[in-house]
Amino acid sequence: MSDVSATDEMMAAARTAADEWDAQLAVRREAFAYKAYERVRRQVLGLMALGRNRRLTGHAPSDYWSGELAKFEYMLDASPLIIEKLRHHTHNLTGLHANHYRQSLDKQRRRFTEKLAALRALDDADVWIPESRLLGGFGFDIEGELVNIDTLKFYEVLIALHAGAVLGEMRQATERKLVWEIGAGWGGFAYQFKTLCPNVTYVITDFPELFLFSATYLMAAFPDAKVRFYGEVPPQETFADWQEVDFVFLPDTFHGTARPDQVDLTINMVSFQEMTTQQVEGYVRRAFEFECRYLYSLNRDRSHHNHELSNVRSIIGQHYWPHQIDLLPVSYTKMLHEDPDGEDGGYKHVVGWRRVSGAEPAQ
Amino acid sequence: MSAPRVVIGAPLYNHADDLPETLESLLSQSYRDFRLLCVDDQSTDATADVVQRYASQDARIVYSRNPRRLGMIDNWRRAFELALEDTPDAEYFAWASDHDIWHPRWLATLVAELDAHPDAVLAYPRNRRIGPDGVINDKRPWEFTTAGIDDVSTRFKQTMRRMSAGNMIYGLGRAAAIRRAGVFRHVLVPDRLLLMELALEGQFRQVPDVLWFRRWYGPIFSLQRQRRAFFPNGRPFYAFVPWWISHACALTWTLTVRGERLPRLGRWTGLRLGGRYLRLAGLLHFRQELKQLRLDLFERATFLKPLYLRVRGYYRGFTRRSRLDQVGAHWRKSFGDAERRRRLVQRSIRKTRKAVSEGIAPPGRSLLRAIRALPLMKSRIIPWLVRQEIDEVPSGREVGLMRAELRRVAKSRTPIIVGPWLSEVGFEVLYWIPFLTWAVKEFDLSPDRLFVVSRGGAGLWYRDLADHYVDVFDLMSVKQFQRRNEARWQDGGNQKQMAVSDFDDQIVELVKEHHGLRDVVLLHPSVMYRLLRYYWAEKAAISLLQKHAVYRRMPAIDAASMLKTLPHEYVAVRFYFRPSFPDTRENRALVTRFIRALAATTPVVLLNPGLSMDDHEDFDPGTGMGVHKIDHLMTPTQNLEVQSAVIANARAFIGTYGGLAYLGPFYGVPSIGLFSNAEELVLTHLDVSRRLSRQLGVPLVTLDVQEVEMVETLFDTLTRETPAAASRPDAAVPTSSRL
Repeated sequence: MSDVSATDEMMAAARTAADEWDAQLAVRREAFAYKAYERVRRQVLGLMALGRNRRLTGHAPSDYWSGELAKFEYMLDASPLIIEKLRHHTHNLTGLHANHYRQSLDKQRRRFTEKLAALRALDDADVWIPESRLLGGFGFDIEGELVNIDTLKFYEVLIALHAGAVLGEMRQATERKLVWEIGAGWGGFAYQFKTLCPNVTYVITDFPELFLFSATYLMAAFPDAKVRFYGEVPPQETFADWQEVDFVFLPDTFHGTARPDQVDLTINMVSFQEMTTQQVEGYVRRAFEFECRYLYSLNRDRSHHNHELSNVRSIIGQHYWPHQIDLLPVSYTKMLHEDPDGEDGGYKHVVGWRRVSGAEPAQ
Repeated sequence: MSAPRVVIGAPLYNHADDLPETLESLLSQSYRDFRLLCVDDQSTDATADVVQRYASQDARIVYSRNPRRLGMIDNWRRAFELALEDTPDAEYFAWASDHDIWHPRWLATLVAELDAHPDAVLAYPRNRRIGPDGVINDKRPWEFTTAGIDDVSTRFKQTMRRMSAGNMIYGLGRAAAIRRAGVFRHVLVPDRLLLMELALEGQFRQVPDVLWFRRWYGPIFSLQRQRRAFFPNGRPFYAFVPWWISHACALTWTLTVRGERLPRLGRWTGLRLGGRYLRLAGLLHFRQELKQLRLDLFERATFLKPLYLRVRGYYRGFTRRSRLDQVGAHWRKSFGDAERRRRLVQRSIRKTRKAVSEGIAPPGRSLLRAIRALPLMKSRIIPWLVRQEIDEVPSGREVGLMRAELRRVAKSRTPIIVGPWLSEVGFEVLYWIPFLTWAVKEFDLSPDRLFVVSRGGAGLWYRDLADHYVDVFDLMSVKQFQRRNEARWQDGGNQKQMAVSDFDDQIVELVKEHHGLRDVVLLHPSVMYRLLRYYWAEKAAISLLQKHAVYRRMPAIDAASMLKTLPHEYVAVRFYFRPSFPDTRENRALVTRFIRALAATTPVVLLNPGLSMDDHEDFDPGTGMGVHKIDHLMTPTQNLEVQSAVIANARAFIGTYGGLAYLGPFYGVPSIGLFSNAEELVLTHLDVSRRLSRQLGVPLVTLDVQEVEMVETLFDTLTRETPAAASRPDAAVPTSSRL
């Protein structure tokens, strides 16, 4: 008899705990970030369905990316707990884990501090933006600010853009500018850029699945931003009122069908090097056709394992005059104490200026 | 439409190679309201064509050609005068060179700077120095400004001490102030004098962005050079007066005697400034003379330079270490040192390796080389020996022997080993494969019996001839092959396979072993070599080749996977040096120009394998604008396969005559082969290549580099003679025309 009552008591406690947990989840589901995620998921599912046919006709992701995309299928049904720690799940894209940045890792932390100091010495425009603590942001705590390898990378890119006399134009813009990032990953650079240059419309082209990270993150970081996904309005109207929109998410398979009136800066970081020559050519040509004046690239000439690409700078050079900007003697992936890259091995900051050829004669 | 506020004068002289990038960077300015006046001082290269090409696309360009060569000073003056004649209301003026690059925001930023600061007469950005290849090669941009300095005397002194005339002269200035400052006076180093006089007019403002990239061709400054460039029609006496004296005299004359700045600047002040200039510029001059002395010394005694650099490095390292305080600077500098150390170690290793390899080279090779290098050996004795041998054996007999050999091969029921082919690509493509094609047909050799043996992935050339292909590199390492093949050359005297060598036997044994073949019969390249040598030595007619070779297109190559690596449309290029196209400065310059011009319009894919597989030395023009390297795709075992696939899908092939140049027509790809030393050519090969082109219906142009200029002239003439050009109203005014 006593056994029965004990079991009942245990089951009742379990039920209560489960109810409490459900209640907690229900509250968390109402959080802004999760609501944003739900909107993103709806759009992503739609975009994936739309893109399926096009992928069958030759727009399929490479083998590498097919494998990568399969890894985070679970993000299509993420709980509020995952969204609250969204940055911890971006390791699927970056390989960076929060536990690589424990405060106890003194030696590593010191190296980050040194590299940050070296970058700050190069920064004469004050473009430093630390990692946000939003959605589980992580990094070494250096003077009260979070710093991880991505933060340093983005900082380096911003310095390069400033040194290339591009960033100033975007920061001081009185007229709205449009920036197009090809392959934005989890949206970290978009966050930094938009923070520094609020008067820009930021267009991201990527695999729709990746919008689960980037769009959710950016919508949570900029709650008042106006966000548009491809397909929310008829395709030809995607950019009709682009000056009013803060972020536009354009899937890779549809980047040809929606044409903005102007593009002021095209950005690519670390993904041209993974593409085939023809894919890179396609993106560079499109930027040229958009009359985009600057194209920025942070890539190696060719990823070591990629045998389907000739040379990123050469391809950029077909439509843009490439100008290399040298900052630190080591690539962004390395700390200062590590060996510098060989002449051809490292990541290069390249600012391309649009060539005249093919442009219409001046009035 | 209102007149532009800005006019740019570009004095041009013989920089056609860099001019497209220069013009494009100016035409891409975000500030579009300007006129660009290009004044060509009788360039002898393609400068006029380049400017006219852009002028036809952009109405802002005005082109003018001086009726006679004026020299640099007068050309700069003329650029200014014509620009202001063309656009008299222009507020701002800038000189542009014919080889530098401007950031798209350069003009907008400088205009905004001058608009915002009425006290300023000249605005210029920070700039970086780039090499001929466009890569930045200085350490940091220089900085100088007189912003906020109202006192004329202080501005004058600051400018005198710290200006960088060569950089600042390309800034944007107020046209009226430049005119008042005398534009370019007829003195040496006229830019310094102009800037000094401009400093009297107002402030200089430097914007903090790097917006101009100055191309630097090395330490070319010298007063002698200036005298030549400034006064091409004879040096006046004052060209030999030290520049600081002539500047001081000019200043004193202008300010004191003529009183050009009165009443703002009194005559007494003018005299004082002239005196100060004499003193300060004199000191500067001596510093420059010392620098020049050093440069001259190193030019004559190059061995001193490394020593000097080392001492200077120690000195700088010493002084640097003593003032390292900033963390960032510390890291940059210390890593710079580490990088230098690394390079030093690598250089030492390279030198040691080279010394060792040269030291242990077989003495026989040197001996043979020495014998061949004897006077008359190459030009007379060897050809005579070859002729003697050929004269003794009539080709008719050789034909009989060849046919008997092929009959023997055909009759046997065993597998046939075809090859191994161990010599040049050119002979393989042009003779061996057509000969085999003929033999297979003539003697009905079944493809399943044929085991073709070659190297480097040449198998796809034989696909419609033989069912089996064996690559030598599957049987042995590349190093083993190179070593043995070199020994074969030594034994045979050259790389032609006139007889079956020990190395051939060894390869045949390996093929048998790898493929489990017991009895085989050999169809060796010597059969073809011994037959066709009569034709090559002009002891037999072309009919000998025609009767024993079949020329047809090679099977298409499915290179879908590789094409992803290549641009959508491209021209394949491979230049290497050989006796008929030797490694000379002229040939290097021509090839570089060729590739750059080509890449400006069509992507170029370089076929350089990055491997040393034969006696040819590849020319590497570097990866630049629109030039794609694919050496990462090539390994010794398949470089020919990759090169063939790339050529087969190219719009055209251009390269050194011989080898791969023959391959294009076999894949229906038009080809151009260049040579420069016709004496080293075997004319019969040239004849065959032309017949091949006609037979396959694909152009194969063989061109002596001396003919290139003639062809260019011809095409220029044709272009100019087009009805559209002839009917233009300005076509009859060649010296100064707006396009």
